[in-house]
This record gives sequence, C-alpha cells and structure tokens, in this order.
Amino acid sequence: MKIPLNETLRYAGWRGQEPDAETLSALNRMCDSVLSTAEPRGVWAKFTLSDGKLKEAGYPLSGFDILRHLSGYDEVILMAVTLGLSIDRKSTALQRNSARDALIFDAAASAAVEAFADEFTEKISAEIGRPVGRRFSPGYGDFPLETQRDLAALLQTDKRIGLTVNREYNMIPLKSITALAPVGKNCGRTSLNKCADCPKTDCAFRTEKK
Amino acid sequence: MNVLIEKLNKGILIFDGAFGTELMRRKIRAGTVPELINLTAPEVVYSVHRDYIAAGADVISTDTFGANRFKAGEKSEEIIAAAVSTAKKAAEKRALVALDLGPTGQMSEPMGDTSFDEFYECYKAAVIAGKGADLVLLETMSDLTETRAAALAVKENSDLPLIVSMTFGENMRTFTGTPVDAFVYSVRSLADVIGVNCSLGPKQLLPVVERILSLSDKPVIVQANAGLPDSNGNYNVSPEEFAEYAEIFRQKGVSVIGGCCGTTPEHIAAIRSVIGRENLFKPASPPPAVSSATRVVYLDGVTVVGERINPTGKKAMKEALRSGDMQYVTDRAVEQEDAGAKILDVNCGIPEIDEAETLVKLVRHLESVTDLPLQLDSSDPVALEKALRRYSGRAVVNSVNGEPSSLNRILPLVKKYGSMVIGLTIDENGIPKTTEKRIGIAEKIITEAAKYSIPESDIIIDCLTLTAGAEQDQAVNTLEAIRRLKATHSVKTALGISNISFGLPYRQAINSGFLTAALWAGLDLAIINPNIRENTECIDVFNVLTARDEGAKTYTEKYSGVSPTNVDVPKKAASSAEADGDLFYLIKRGLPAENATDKLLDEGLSAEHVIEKILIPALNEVGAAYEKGTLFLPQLIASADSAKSAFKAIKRRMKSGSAVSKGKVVMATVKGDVHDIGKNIAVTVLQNYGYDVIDLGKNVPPEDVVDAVKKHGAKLVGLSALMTTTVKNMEETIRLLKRECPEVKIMVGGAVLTKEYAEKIGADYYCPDAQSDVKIASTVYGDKP
Repeated sequence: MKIPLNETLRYAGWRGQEPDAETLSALNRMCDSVLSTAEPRGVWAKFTLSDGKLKEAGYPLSGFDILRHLSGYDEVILMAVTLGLSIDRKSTALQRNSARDALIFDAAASAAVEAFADEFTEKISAEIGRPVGRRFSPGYGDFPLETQRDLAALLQTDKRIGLTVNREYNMIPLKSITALAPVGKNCGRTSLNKCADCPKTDCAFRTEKK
Repeated sequence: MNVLIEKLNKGILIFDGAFGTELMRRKIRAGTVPELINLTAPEVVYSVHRDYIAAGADVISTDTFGANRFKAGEKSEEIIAAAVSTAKKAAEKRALVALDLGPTGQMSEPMGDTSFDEFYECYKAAVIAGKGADLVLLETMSDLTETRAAALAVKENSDLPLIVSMTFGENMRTFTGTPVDAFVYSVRSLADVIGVNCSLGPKQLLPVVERILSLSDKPVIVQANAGLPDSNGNYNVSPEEFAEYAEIFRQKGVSVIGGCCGTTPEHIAAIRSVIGRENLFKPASPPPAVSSATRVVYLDGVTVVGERINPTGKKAMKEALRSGDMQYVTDRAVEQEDAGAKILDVNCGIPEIDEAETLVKLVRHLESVTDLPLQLDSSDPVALEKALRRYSGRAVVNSVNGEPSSLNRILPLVKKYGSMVIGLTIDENGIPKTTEKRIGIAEKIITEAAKYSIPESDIIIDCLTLTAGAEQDQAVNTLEAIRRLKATHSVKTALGISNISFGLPYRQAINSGFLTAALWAGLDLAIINPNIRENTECIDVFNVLTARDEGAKTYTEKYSGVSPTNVDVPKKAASSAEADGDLFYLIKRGLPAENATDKLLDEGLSAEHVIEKILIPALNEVGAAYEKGTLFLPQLIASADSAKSAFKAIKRRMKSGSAVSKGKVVMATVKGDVHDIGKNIAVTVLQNYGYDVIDLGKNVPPEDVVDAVKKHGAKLVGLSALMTTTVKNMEETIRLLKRECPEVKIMVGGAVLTKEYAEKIGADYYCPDAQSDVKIASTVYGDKP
C-alpha cells in the first residue's frame, strides 16, 4: 500500500501553501507511521442487483443516487475495508503529544484507507476476472448513512474484519469504508474522482470547490 | 457439579459445525438478521440440528449467534426462545443444547461508545430468553470488555455452565488487540471452559491453541473454520483433514471440539469417526501475571508499581479527584508509564467523595490513556467489586489483611473476578512487632485464600514498611519477613517504600537504602514513585548485580550519558534537541519552546509578559496567516503545540491557584460521535489563549454537558459532531442547554456543519476552523484576542 501525498495534503486542509521543512518531515514520519501501524483487512461479496435490491439478501437499496450509480449493471460488489483499531489507538496517543502530528497522521490514515480500498477493488477484480467499477458509499449523495449498519451486517464485518458500526452509524475502527461497486464492462474504472459528481457541494473535503 | 464438567470427566465432547453454510446449502438467503429464520422456517433449523446429531455431535448450538438486541432488535428474545425450543426438540435429550451467543457488533469504550452495562443488559436479556438450554456458548468474541460483561451476565442470571471462546488471528491477538494471554487471565475465572473459534483454519490455529493450553486451568474448546475462504466464499479444508487436526488438538489436551465457518455435518462425522474419546486435559499452573485488555505483565523480576494516583498526602491529587480534573490523572499516569512503571496503583480514598463511583471513573479513564494493568487500592469491598466488574483485564486487589472481616469480604471478590491480591501483614491487633507474627498473618491469608481455591501464586504479601524514625528496629523485621516468606512460599511480595523515611532529613537516601535492601531480601513489586531518579536507579543497579539485566544492556543504554558532573539521565531526544532561540520565532515556526521560555523566565521576565507580549502575539500572527490562506493548517497547529510547550514551563513556576484564566469553556464531542480530533485541536488552541478548558471528551451525553456547565459556571460551550447522524444529538444537547442554562453561549463545529445549519439547530456561533473558537471566546468573555 502506498499513501498518496496529494490526498494526505487535502485531508490535512491544504490550500496550495508551501509547507515548511518541519511539516514535510512530519508528513513523511506520519505516513511511515500509518503504514507500520495499519492492519488493513477487507471482506467482500458479490450480489445480483434486481429491482433495486441486493437479490441474494433481499435487501432494498435506498436513495436515488446509488441506483443511478449502479444502473445498467446486474451484478455488484459489496465490500468493507478497515485499517484496524491500532490506528485509532495510535491517533489517540499522538493527540496527547503533538496536535500537529495527530492531524497529519489522521489525514494520512484517511488517504491510506482510500488507497487500500482501491487496491482491494483491484484484487476483487482480479479474482473474479471482471472489471469492478467505482465505489459508492453510504453518505455519498442521498445514499443514507443508516445503510452502513445493514451493509456491515450483510458482510458480518464485525466477526470477519473487526469492523463495527455504532448506533449512530459511526464506523469503528474510524478508518474504514463500506461501499458498493458495479461489476462489468464500461463500469467507470477510469474516473475515480468521487467529488465531482457528488451533490454535496458544501463538503469540507470537496476537491473542486465551485 | 454442572452437566458440562460431568460429561468432560467422562471424555471429550464434540460440538456441531457451521449454521450459515448449511442454510446456504438449503438455498436459504441470509438478510441482515439471518436468525429470523427461527421464526419464519423453524423446520429448516430443525433439519440442520438433526443432521449434526446424526453426524455424531454431542452438543448442538442454537441458531442465535446474532440474535442479540443490538443486531436483531426487538424480536431478539422471541427469536432466542424459538431457537432454543427448536433445538431441544431436535436434540430429544440425545444431545446437549448450547445457547449460542455471538458479539453484538458494537465496540466498547473507550475506542467505541458502548458501555459495560449496555453489554451486560443485552446478554442478560438473551440468557433469560434462552432458558431451557443446557449450557451457554459465548463465541467469536473479539472485545474483552464485551466478553467479560457477557460472561458475568450469563453467570449472574442463570445456573448454566459457560463456555467462552474468543477469535484470534495469526498475530495471536483479537481484532481489538487482546492477546491470547490477556484473554486467558481475564476470563478463566468466569467460565467453565475457554478457548478459540473462527478466523482461521485448524492448522493456523494450532499456536493459539497451544498457548491457551499452556496457561489455562480450565478445559479448552476449539472450533476452527474449515480453512480460509477462497474468492467464492468456499472453505476448502476437507472433513478428513479437519478430523486429523481434531485428533491432534485432543492429544494436546483440548476437551471440546467442533467446527466454525465452512464446516458441515460431514466434518463432524469425520471427527467422530477418527477421534479418541479420552479427555487428556491437564490444568496448567499459570505463572503470576496481571493484564489490561491489551497488555500482559508477568511478575517475573522486579516490577515497578506507580504509586502516584493516590490522594494520601498529595494535595494536588486530592483537589483533582474532588473537582474531577481527569487531565491531572492522565498526566500522572503517562508520566509514570514513561518512567518505567509496569502497573499503576489507583487509590481514591478521601472522605468527601464517593469512593466506589470515583474508582470506577478512574478505571474507565485510565483505560483510555494507558495500557498498563491496574492495581485497585481500596479496603472497601463495594468499591472494589464495582471496579473489578468494570475493569477489562486482570487487576491486583490492594488489599486484604488478616482480619476475618477483611478476608471474608475481599477473598470472594478475588476468586470471582480472578484477580491477584495483596495481603497486608496486619490484623485486628495492628502490625505485629516480630518477624514471626508477620509471617503468621501472611500464612493465615494464604490458608484462607486456599479455601477459595486461590493459589499461593496469585497472592502478593506486603510485609509493611514502618517509619524508621519512630520504630527503628522494625525495618529489619520487614526485610526478614520478606526473605523468609520467599524461602518458604511461592507468593510474591510487595512493599511501599517511602514511609520508611518519614520525619527524617534527606529522605531519599533512606528510601534508596531501604529499597535496595528490600530488593535483596526478595521484593517483587516495588510500589514507588518511578519519576524519582534514585528509585529507578536502585532497581536498575539491582538488575545488573543479579544478572537479570544481561550484559548490563538496559543499564548501559539508559545511563551511558551520565557523568559525575551531570547525573541527570538524558531526557528524550525531543527536549534535548530543542531549538534554542527567540521565543516569538519558535512559536511562529511551531518548534519546541519549553527551554526558551524557561530561559526568559530565568532572566526575570514575568509570566504575564511572556504570555501577553510574546505568546499571544505570535499565535495571532500565525492565526492571521492561516486565515489569509498563506499558512497550511498543520503549521498553525504546530504553533499551538509550541505554545503548549511554552505554557508547560510557565505552569511549572506558577504556584497553584495563581494561574490567571480568561474564562472557562466546556468542550465536548456529542453523544454517539467518536470522532474527536477536531475538538481536541480546538481545546489546545483555546488553552493557549489562556482559557480554562473543561474537556469532556467524546460520546458525551447531553446531561453531562449541562452538568459541567452548571458545575464550573462556564459562559461558553463548544460542541463537535462529525456525522450527519450525530448532528441530531448536537441539536438535543443545545435544546437541553438552552432550557437548563439559558445564559450559556454555544459554539459548534464539525465537518458536516454549515453556518446556516448551525443557526438552524440553535447554536449561537459556528466555528469553521480551529482559529475561530478563540475569537468567539474573546467575544463572550469580553477580551481582546
């Protein structure tokens, strides 16, 4: 796994400034620390999409945006990945010593979990021998965050990768992703820009501000 | 004797295999609550049970793995009752029925937001709904807090035998970081059988199984997966291979064998046909050890027990406990851990506070700041029991003594919770003046403990330090009692040291001398302040001279920088490498500034001058650069870190009570939300501008925010929420604050908020970034930033 620097910078609130030497050094240290601390794990299952439902589970997907994202495909991948609880523990410990390091560590871990999810998607694609498209997660567009718990339940993420979802739909460990992605030709592997299509234009982490 | 142990005395027991795999074979689709099938198609469940019984299972597990309230909701109890009834029908008394309880899918505090009590209530409801089963199987557990809460719920709400099985990866830890050893030490007293299931195939589980067997005095269960799943979700260990491993496990001493994910009636039948019936389990005698949820400390060699979390004779700690200042407690814990403590003693025995409530609060708090095991220091059985229940690990109980009332009330707790215990050589007649009588009390404690089956190796005897200034002849008696006890018993010994020098000048010389003598007499647990250099030196020297520190490696590493003219052990690199220079520049650049601040104060500048003329202007300058967009956020935060280090130097010189505060601000991440990095950064920034911040942490219920505002008379509250789903809890907190504390101003922040939304939910101010809090605080408190 490699942590993309530009994504780390973005999560750390970068607005094009020139970082000084200390900040650059902290960036390197924290990226290394994330890599040595993380225990990345993932789990996935393939479902048939039919009438807006994950057919094998009889689970209806809510919201217009997820159905639009998956429209035209009759097979989808449901996946969950996490960097593990050791990242959360390390982050808590850093927050006591250096807020700067903690902030950068958090940003690097956010970038890392996305990078791991990309890798994991590639791995699934290789295993099933077919392309897997862009991921769409609860909380994107109008795909309700409340879906998070059901997706975790369908994959039994708690017992298989140690990923839990609390009553308010926070994922713990914090650096985790659940997502659905279409399977098949022309399913949009080329564009991984999640922000451009997202209707949540006031999002703090949006890459292209309008 | 319970039915499970009775059966195990006759031979091994075979459990059934996976349920999900069997349902898939029958083309049953699993939704988000697969256990609903108990209500919709009980005949299918019945047929799976029958297949396993036909295959030769001695015990079948109800189809209730995820049927708890957290996962199955309001139908939970109905599902569990139906499942038990179906299983009993299928068993026809030919097999035992195990009520199968899996994890709730929630994470415990402090990493998650589910409390011990919430877990307890969930499993209590399940076990009551499952009455009629012959035993309980608690399995695939990963979270030690949840596991212990569940085990206690079963034991306290039923008479059923209990099997507890956690799931471990190849790193010998659960997903939440609990090592195999911590599981065994923390759970064995609560269960009849312990073991491992799921996650790996039988081959990969072998090291885990061997480790459990080497430590467990309770019979051991193994339910492996049929290997690791391939890309189609198939498990590929054949019934024959699986059965071979089952026999290997039996020969190593495993008493209960079944299957987990991917195993089928064919696997169970294969086990039945090849496995021997004899139970070869031999209880282990585990070496003395204590543990937190994530760290085990073996009591071999000298173990430093940090004594600083104790209000006795410590004004600042008393004040911190009274006012609930957890930051003070955190600092003492972290500083002792850094100085080499391996266990932390926790005492809160002061008259004005509720000891039980405070001890539990301290345990919960300390679990969030350190992974060191705790030593619960109280003579109040109520406080001890509450803390022992809540503690996720194996604690030391400090203490029991030779009085019957103490023995009768403390030893049952030690037994139930499986802790270690310190026995004080004192009884109703006080501290005996002779060595013989002290040993007599120690032996009485040992004998009484044995009546509860508490072995000598779980006991630590404290021969008690008396003041040499008053009773000079007693020092030798203490040391001699240690020596003789160690020669004749397998107990460990502990001693608080500093009392020896009370009333004498140059106390540390006496303390060092006595500590060294005690170590040579056989002291195992030194209860000391590890931040006093001479104390740890005594131990480091002892370890060299007794060849425990092989090749004096540790000693050389630690002391190679010490010279006759500079005896200070070099501190960590960060402070020694600290840049020396202009304070204003250091803050602006975000560099460590403690030394530079010290220097200015040494030169005679006042603290006020340093704060108002240097720190705040420097912070303002970086704040302005950040607002203009020329400074990158981590650099702004680095300046905050830098200012924090400067304040450390300032605070060191301030007499307590003389600190000037610009005003109090209560800060919290709202209930249900566990993201707190943003809030923590805001706290640091506010503190640097001289505000007195009461940081309530994350997942804070609305009532707690209101209580804190009232208690501290704060004029300003900061609330943080990162999730769209938790903003409603922010709104609820604001509503309650407006009702209960109409005067208080509320600022809110968090990634999902906008100015408009903040107004909509009733907040007075919106914080788009880390710097805005300071402006708001200065507006509320009428101060220039």
